[in-house]
Amino acid sequence: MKIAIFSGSIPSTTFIEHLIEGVAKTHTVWLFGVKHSPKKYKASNIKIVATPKAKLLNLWVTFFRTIWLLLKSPKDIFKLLIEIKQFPSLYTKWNWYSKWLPIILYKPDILHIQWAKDVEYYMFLKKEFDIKIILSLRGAHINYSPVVNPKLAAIYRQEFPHIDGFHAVSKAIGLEAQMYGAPPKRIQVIHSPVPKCFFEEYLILNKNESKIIQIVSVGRFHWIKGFKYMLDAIFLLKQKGKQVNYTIIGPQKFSEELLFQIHQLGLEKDIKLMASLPQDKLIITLKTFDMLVLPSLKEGIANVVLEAMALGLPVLSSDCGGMPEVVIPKNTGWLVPVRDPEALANAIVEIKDTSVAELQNITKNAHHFVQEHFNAEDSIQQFLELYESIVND
Amino acid sequence: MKTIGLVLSQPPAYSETFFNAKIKGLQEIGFQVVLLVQSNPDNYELCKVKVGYNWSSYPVKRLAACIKVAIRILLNPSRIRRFVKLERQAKRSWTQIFKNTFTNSHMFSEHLDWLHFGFATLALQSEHVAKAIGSKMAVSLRGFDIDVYPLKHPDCYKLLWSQVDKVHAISNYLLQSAYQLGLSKETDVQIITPAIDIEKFKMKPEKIASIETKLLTVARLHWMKGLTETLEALAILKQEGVRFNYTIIGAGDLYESLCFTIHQLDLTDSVFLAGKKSQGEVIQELTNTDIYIQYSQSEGFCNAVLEAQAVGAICIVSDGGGLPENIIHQETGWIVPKRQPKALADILLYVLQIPSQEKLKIMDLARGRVAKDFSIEYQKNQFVEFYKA
Repeated sequence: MKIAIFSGSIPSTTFIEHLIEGVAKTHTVWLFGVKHSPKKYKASNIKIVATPKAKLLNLWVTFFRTIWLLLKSPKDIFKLLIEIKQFPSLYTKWNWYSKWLPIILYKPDILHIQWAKDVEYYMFLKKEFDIKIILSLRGAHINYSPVVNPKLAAIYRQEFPHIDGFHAVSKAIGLEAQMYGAPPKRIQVIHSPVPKCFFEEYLILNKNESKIIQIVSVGRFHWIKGFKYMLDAIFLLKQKGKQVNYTIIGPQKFSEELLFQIHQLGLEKDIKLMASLPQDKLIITLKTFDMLVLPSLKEGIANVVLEAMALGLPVLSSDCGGMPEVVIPKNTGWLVPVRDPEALANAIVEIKDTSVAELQNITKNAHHFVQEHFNAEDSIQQFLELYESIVND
Repeated sequence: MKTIGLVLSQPPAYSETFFNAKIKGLQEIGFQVVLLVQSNPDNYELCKVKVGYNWSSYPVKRLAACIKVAIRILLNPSRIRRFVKLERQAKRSWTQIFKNTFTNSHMFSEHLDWLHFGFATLALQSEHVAKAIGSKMAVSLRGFDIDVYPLKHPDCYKLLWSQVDKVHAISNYLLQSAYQLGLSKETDVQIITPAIDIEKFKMKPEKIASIETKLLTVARLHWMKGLTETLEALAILKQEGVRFNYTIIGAGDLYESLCFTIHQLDLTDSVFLAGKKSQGEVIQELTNTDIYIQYSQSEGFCNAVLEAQAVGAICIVSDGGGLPENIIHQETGWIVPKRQPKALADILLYVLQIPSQEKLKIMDLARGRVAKDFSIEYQKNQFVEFYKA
């Protein structure tokens, strides 16, 4: 079985790289796309067939690939030439030709597309070359891009019914894809695994008895992350006389909007930023807080919440996307409606007032839950089963 | 006859009433106005326009611009000497002084009584120009100048405050904020609010009650405008069974986030993002509006609210920035605490059920107040007063 894991760029993001290495333990994995920085894999059965970024080099490589395909299967060149006709300029024609050519040359059995927006450009491989298409449903590409961009929604509606299989990071995102015509039977939920080190660092919670509530969030400043609601919540807590320390890990500086909000609400002393941390330092730092809060408007499933749960840190999340599949109220964490600062503030007080025994119970449940449902071995096994089922279909 | 040099980044568009009215008004009184700008794309004709150094990506154009600057500098040696001396006294580096001489070169040859910076941020790095050319210096304070810029650049106005002769604020809020930012209470100041030409805004005809309430906001799609909070309030209204139709006129960066909010709050069939519109179209839209909402986090003052009152739309605004100076609570409209969608929804629900007689009374009072206190004529006199000092 020739599996191509395709994200458009080599190397890819961390979780896609994990998937590549995991699948490569038992199968040959083909990587197509533009090589952005040098990458060497230990596993010998990861085959990189990149489109060079340098224009001149690309000219040569594509030239030789063209000759090779002409010798191998001249018909395919003609199909490819017909396909690039859709683009207006010679430059875009050339661009797509050099990107598609290696995939047609090595013809994988499965093209596993990582980002839904790419679907538009790669579906012809199924129709013309009988390559099976699997699409991963992740974050923004499903959760808000088609909502904001009706043209993209139309493309999804046109293509999703023809895709052979979907990988959804949560049940919720699978349901979202069904709105664009993804057949429910072809959607398989496969959770993204949480790195082992988070489980290894799990400790039974030791409650901080200080009056100051120590809260942490991790994430970038984008409107979808809902930080403004959290700032409103901190303001409400202060009005109620609570002492709060809120730290946001990730961004280097506040966005203009949040900077103004902090100033207008007089929260300068209560909120601070911490630059992104490497995993080992992040683990140590997260443990110093009373809770982790995710105030997002929409998520596939936020990894940072899973990681906090694995570590044994109480979590409070907004009820969005796949979050209620993991944060189960009074069982594995606290869940509040989206866009609701008052609910966030009340839940923060509730967590602070929860007895040690109950907090320990909930964080222990959370740890076990994540360990059971988000481990690397299961995840890779599920992907292999998905690939096999589609090839044998 | 006095000559006023008005510094802007570019001449006002013909729809920008504030500056155009000001220029016309001053000319009528017999003042001469020179616009000092960085570019003049539409060849502004209302008064003399002087364009500063414009960085061009074409080497030939750049060279020509450099020669022009050099000539301007060479023709005004004593003024340049004075400028450099003042800059040195303020401990500016030679590189910065060189840059400032370059970018301010178009102002050095002017003979002015007042050099008036249209925005406080425009006066940065030009703080010594007025003294160097022997004129007085004035600066206007606007929303962004005071609300946002200093948060990112603390103490940015320290030098400006020490050099400026007179400060114009478009609202008391901005003036008080400027004091907090270090403006001395000793400095001569004057509040002159924006004004509108009431003749252009005809009171809308009394409307036959319709099932759907027409709501409107005219604003850039920007976080400062509180549009997300407005939509959250409208979601509550919808849950209460109110039928409404809400239009936002304006374009901007928040478009994506607003689309998502509309979708998530299930408001797709009752909210319309209309994009940018001409002034005529805005007035037309205002005349069809029952309730005008301006739920910003802050505003310097907000002209749109004046316009809405002029046509007889009931105004509901936040208490952000200068907005409470625009409306008299419960007399000419309603003021709601900012950032509280629930509070906005409550007021909307309340206003929707008050009898039309009461609404008419409020509309009349609002239009009357705008006509009296925010007229172009009044503004004109205020500016004459401003430069008399």
